[in-house]
Amino acid sequence: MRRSRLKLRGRLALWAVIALVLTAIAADLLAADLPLAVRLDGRTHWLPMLTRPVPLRGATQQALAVRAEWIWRTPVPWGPNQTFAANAAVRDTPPPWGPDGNHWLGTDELGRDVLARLIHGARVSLTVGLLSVALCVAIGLLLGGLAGYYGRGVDAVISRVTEIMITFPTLFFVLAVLGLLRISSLFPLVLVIGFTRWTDIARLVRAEVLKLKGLDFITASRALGLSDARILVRHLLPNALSPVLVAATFAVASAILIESALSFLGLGAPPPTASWGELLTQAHRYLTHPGAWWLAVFPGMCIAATVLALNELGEALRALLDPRA
Amino acid sequence: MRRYLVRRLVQMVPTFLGITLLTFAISHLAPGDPLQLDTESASAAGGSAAATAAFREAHGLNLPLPVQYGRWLKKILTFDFGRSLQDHRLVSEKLAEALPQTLLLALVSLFLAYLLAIPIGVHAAARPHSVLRRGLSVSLYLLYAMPTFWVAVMLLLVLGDLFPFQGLASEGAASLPLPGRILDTAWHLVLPVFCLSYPTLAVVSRQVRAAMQEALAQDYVRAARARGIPERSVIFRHALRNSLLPVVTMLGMSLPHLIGGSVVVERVFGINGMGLLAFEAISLRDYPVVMAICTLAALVTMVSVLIADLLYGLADPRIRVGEEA
Repeated sequence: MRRSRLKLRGRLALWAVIALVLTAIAADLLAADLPLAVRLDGRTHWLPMLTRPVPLRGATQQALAVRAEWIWRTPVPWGPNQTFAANAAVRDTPPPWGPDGNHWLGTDELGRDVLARLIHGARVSLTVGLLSVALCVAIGLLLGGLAGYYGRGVDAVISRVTEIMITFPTLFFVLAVLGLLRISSLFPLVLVIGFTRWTDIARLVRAEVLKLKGLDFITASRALGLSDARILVRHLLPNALSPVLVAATFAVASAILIESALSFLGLGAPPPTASWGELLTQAHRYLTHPGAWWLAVFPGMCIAATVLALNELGEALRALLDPRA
Repeated sequence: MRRYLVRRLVQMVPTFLGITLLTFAISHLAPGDPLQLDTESASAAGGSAAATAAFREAHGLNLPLPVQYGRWLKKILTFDFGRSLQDHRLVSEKLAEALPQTLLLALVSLFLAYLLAIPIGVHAAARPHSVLRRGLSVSLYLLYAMPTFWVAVMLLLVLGDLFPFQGLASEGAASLPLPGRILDTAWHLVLPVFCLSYPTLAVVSRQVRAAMQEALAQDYVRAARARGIPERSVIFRHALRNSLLPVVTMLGMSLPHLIGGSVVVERVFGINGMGLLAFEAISLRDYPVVMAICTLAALVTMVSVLIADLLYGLADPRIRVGEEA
């Protein structure tokens, strides 16, 4: 029996992923150093965190709340890069500070709000996850399709290349490329993950194309005189897409894990970009004195929940798309 | 079988060449000259143009790249990886120092993961409704979504008072009698081994469960039950033997994950193994060390995949026939 809808767990996972994507898109509206709207000296500024008007330069929501005639604050009234120096916060001890009424999830070593950094960190994770997997899928479809369709020499060469990429431990390879090239920016990170993780998808596509190309509808297409490229792109690959979708969902989870591990090792997004892995680096630094548990618990939960939701979604999609499961 | 072995060995040659070519390319695409990083030689040379030229000449850096690649390849075939740019020690010497720690960590983790995964998987398939099974499955599934470095940091945060923070031996452990030394090392191994083994444990136990479920649904199992063979014997002598095959192949594929994982685990727990050596070499752009570790890691993976495939072929004649057809 085939179910035509996702199971409950899969639907929950889908909603969790959608919520995460929305958080990433709306990060600037959820947590920012400037309010959503403010009326100051007779002028109303809308979304000043995006427009950055001159009269508000260097201001904070906390300072504006005192001066402004009217203010609409963001849900989290801190920007991801707003340090304690900017807040002119008066405290006895240097940061990191634990969770309290001002900073719900505490602050990091520079006094930046953890919740704000988590919200903005979702951007990094999702950008890297989605873009690198898009690249993986593109490469996997191309190479897997060619290997499966042409077979023989083409297949042998592509299979060897796939084998070489599988043989390198991924994290290791990505680390070596980024570290040696001294690159610390998001785009190359996406490229490197994309160019290393395509092997699973290529193998899936190859197997699927091999299975499909003997079927009658392909013979018919050939009899109609369609070109190889057209048969491959219009008839074979679309039919191989459903296992690819499942594999891609898992691949997003694994790319997010790689990104966070790289950020943890200090080779991910360049500072001061907020990312989940970078907060965990600080947690490792502050293990004993003063023991900043909030720097470890919350970012880790974000990573784990994201990966879990994506894995659940993948399982549910598999159950939905694979008639044997 | 011999033909299969020869075929596999021949196939390994282009893969190995590809790996070395890729490694060489990565380290030579990187900007900068080893001379700029080789502080000792640079200062010895006094920075004069003539001395620089002499250094380049001596290290073959002025030769065309293909020639440099050929020379390097010839050297690594005799395990001569040159000298580290950092401290001028032989790379092979540095590797020999780091390897035992990583090997100890990886082998203990692999052994424990399989030792636990097989009974857990069998139990899960044989008693699908037990509370223990559900608890184990859920906790392994949750653990699998958690990044290793988070688990490592959390373990240190919570259990840091109980277990040692750094390295694999306490200070002055060398003077202890042998049993004391073993106990000391074991104590240091607990947390790192847990971090390194739980992902493998989660994956392999799922695999065992799936294979067991499939085996238990087969006709020969029903026939065995019909003959009145005790359930214990049906599970362990009939079903398990046939389910272990795919698990053997996974042994080969677990290794790259363990090598990749060792970078993070060794960094968190301050273990001077290959992972940490690689990370430090990458941060300091110590090319000879990075190239040696990359090649070695890929080589080890390649050989272990080969061994797994051979074991598989030995146990299941259908695989060999399929390959040769």
